[in-house]
Amino acid sequence: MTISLNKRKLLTTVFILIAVIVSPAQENFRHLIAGTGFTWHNTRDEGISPFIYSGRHNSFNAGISKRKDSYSSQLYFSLYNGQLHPVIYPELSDAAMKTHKINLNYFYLRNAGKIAGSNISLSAGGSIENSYVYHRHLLFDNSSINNSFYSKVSLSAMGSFPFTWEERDFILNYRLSVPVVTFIVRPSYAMSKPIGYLTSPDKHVRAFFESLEVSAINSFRGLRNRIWIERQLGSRYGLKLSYEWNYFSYNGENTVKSGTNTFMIHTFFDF
Amino acid sequence: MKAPSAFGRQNHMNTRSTIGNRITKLLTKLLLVLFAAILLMSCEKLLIEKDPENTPINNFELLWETIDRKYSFFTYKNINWDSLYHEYRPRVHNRMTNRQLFNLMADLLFHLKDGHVNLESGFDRSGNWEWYKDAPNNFNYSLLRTFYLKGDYVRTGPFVSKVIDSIGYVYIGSFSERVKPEHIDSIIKRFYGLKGIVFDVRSNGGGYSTNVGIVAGRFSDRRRLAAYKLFKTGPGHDDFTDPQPVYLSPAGKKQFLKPVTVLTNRRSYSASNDFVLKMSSLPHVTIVGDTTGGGGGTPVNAELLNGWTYRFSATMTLAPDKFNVEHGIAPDIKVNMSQRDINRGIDTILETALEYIRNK
Repeated sequence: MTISLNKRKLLTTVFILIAVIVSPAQENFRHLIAGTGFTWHNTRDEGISPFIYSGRHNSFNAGISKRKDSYSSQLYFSLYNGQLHPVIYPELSDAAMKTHKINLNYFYLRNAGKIAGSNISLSAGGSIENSYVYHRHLLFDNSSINNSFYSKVSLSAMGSFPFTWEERDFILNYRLSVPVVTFIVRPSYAMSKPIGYLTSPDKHVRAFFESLEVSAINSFRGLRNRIWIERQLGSRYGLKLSYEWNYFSYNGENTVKSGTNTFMIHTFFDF
Repeated sequence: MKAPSAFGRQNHMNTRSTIGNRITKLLTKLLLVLFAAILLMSCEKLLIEKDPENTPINNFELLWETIDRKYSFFTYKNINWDSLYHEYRPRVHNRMTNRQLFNLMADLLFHLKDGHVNLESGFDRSGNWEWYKDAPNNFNYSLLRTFYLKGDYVRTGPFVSKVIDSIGYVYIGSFSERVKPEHIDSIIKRFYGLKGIVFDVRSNGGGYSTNVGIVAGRFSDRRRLAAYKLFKTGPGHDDFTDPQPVYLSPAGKKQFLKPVTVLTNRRSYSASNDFVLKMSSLPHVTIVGDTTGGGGGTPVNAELLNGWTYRFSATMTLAPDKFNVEHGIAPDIKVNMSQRDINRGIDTILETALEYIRNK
């Protein structure tokens, strides 16, 4: 299914989201977060290759996090770049894909109380996760560049477990997101570019919206698991260690199955 | 040295025991996190199935199936791909050498009769160049250089240009080198006051189609329908989009709108064929020479389990009148180079084009 969206409405929505995040509300905490780490990526995108490509990415992210008694929200931007190699013939150095990925994610979770008799607090809500993925296949002389865009509207749930060890306070968090509706721009069935980009090569915005598809859980299934432990080191700053497993499969014109395992260290500052 | 009291020893032991318990609890939590991570990573291995084994049979099956699902000209060229499978598949076995497998696959692909189909291994590259093999050459660069360019020409990016009898002559041997807008703009500026331009794409085997729009746009007076593209939408041989219109629009500060002739031969292929198609949508452009070589399908690359790559056509191109240009575009003025003219240092096709512009 292909839909056309009003560009102005989309920009307005993004603007409102950002404004809500940065607005000086009566929050309990507001953090700036920055992190770095690495990602192990496994993917099979039949639009590029019938084989599994694997490799390491360098990862970086930065964002804003807000936590109140009633809710928490987070807006962050992530960058990944690295090189993937085919698992089937790793000895061929030319058979590689340069990969860059940009994510812009927003999470909003309402506090739902604590599990009876425990210190574990739960929250539930939703998220909008946008990913732009760029692959350039080094073995190909034509159709080597492959672009994809995914915008996932997901349901999210989170559990937080504060604990003390050696008189130091920690919080162990786990968050799960499951996409419900996903907006996708993918290359056409046999090409490396979406049809809109081939027929209107000079009109990128128009080509983008012409190629937009909407997918529900019947064709796009995903799971984002994130577990992290955080520790306030001073009155206004702290550290987080996180592990995230993000998987999705898309049964479109070409099947995509992709999994990433990201380990990161973050620092956060109150502001 | 004074021995610790019983109370002190007990207190010390309690402290050690408490720290031990705390460490055990923390380690348990960390182990749980680690276990969860390993579990999730294991799930991924189950969810993304393994690649098939690298064997001649699996490579053959993969090649045949990918072409079956994505090649664009089965119906147009009336190729029975299933019967070719039954002809070739029994000859594949897992003890065959790489050379034997390469030759067999190359023979299979040869049936597609497509210059955009190649198989590439580390030791050989297959292809089909039948479309121009029996056609007259219709281009002789050394004759052009000796009797027309005479060492007095301008080289601008991939272009060679010269004024011949008050008519501009431009030659481009390939669209593979990047054409910058300033390259073609400087030529248009130099030739703007002339009576016409002869644009020579003979023996131009193609290259980047983005170059085509940059050049052809300098001859366009307004936005015009130049072609239709059909893209595969699924695995069926006739699973295509509706024809998607492709327009040619004016590009650059100045457009040359006086008479233009485009010189072609059977080796004008792929992006060069696309250039001729776009130029022929313009009313002041006349195609002179031989039918182009065709190659209207956009080639895409794919790979095999053994690391070999291959490419094939994945789209179709139609002229504005819905004529499929895969086998070439006929000229408006059909003319071959005669051996008699060649012996006298005359390029028959170029002379015909110059004469045509002089008489306009």
